[in-house]
Amino acid sequence: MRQFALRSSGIIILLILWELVSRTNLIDPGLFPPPSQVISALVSLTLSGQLPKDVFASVLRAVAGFILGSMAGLFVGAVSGRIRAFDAVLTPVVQVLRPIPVIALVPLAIVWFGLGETSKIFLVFWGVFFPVWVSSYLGISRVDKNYIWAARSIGVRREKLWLQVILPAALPTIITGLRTSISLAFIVLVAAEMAGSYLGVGYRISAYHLVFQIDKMMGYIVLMGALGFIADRTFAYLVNRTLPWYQLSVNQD
Amino acid sequence: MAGHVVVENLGVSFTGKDKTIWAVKDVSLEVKSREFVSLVGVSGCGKSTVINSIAGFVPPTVGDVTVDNQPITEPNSRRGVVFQSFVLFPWKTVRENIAFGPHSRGVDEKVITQSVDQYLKLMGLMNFADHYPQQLSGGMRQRVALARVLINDPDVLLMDEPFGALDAQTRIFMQEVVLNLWESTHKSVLFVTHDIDEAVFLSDRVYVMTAAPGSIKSVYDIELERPRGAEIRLDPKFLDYKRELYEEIREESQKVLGPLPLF
Repeated sequence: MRQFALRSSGIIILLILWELVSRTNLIDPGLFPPPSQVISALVSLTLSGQLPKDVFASVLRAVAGFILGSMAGLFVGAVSGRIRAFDAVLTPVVQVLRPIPVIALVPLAIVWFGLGETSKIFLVFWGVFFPVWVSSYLGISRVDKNYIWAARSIGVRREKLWLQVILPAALPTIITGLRTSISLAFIVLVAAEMAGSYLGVGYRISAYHLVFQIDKMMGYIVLMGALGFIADRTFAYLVNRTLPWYQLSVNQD
Repeated sequence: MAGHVVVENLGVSFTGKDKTIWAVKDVSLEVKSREFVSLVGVSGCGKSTVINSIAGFVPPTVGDVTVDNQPITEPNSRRGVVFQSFVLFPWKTVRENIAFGPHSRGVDEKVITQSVDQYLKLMGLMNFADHYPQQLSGGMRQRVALARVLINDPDVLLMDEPFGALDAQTRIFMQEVVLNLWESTHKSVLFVTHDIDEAVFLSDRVYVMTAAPGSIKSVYDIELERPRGAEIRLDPKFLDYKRELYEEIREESQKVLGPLPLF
């Protein structure tokens, strides 16, 4: 409890300072509305039903892109990390595409897929794919051969190694990649929504910018931060819940 | 009687950048059924490579490795391996680690639970069944690793410096654990170590390897009565064996490390 009070004190002080700075007209409150005003904007947007729709649309895009991108990254990383022929063919392709900043693909995605859901999901997919590929590739290609030997010499058949030994052994590395990808998914999503959309948190940030409603714009920015935070905590919670050994291994290394 | 290991003129080479490196050359040794045999040598002489060939991890480049007259083609649960670094699966609990072998060979679940319990009791791990290996001490981890292998009832136990990562007290304790186990189960054991005291204490026969690329330098039959207890370490015959083996190893380590520097 004391820990909690101490941890929240910094945030409370920040909010008070922010409130004071804009109340005392130190900075133009039109440009820098106080938190009380931002919160009331958020409340009215929620009551009008607009904000929940935006959140729903954004979260759906982020989740769809994340799931597709991480599945593809995991699959390509796994086969190229373990099977030499795939490594030779796929790895150079991935390495050529990887340095392209995903934001640079936003206009192209809109040209190809329009302003609808496909372009957003495609961009998140693209952004998530590479870090997950890298982590699965490294995790799986560097599995300690002793694990495989130990398993084989107690009678684990070769075809069962994939699921029972290689994948779990690589999992800590893969999880790190997945976690990085979550924040990346949100960055890409905001960029994609800002470039053109009809709905979504990123779209509102850019739309309120154009009509100069800074309080609502800041409300959506704070909301974006909250979504990212919740996504990260949820991921950590699910990992600890489903893989109780994971924390133990990480702390030890 | 099963578990008769014969290694004849074994050579294993690895291809480096532009040359071939021989890890071991011309190794011949034998572990008769139910014998306890040690292989000692300086670091890097290829002791582990011999184990890896018998286990079926590394194929011989030249020579023959057979168990009960069958050439070895791949790893098999008839030949259990205990590693220096334990190599327990960190994603499995102690119980799941021990059950992994019989489980993947399709043994009946009830039978597995019973025999896992039996090994947990034998190894004094009953209260740690649901712990993860990361939560255990080194000595306990190595007991889990032993149980994980013994539950498959192998004919041959291959132990690759199994106590190298343990502190001195735990090491002596584990030597006695292994000796008791061996005396009650009588499996064939090939035990790799660089600890001479350990080799003499445990073995019927000790092979000494030369420095890299390793081959067999000499063989000692350890004619000390069994069962052996801690007090045998002070027996004059025990100390004689130690002295002789110490001289042999010293010659080899000087080849690797050079003569003592003069200050």
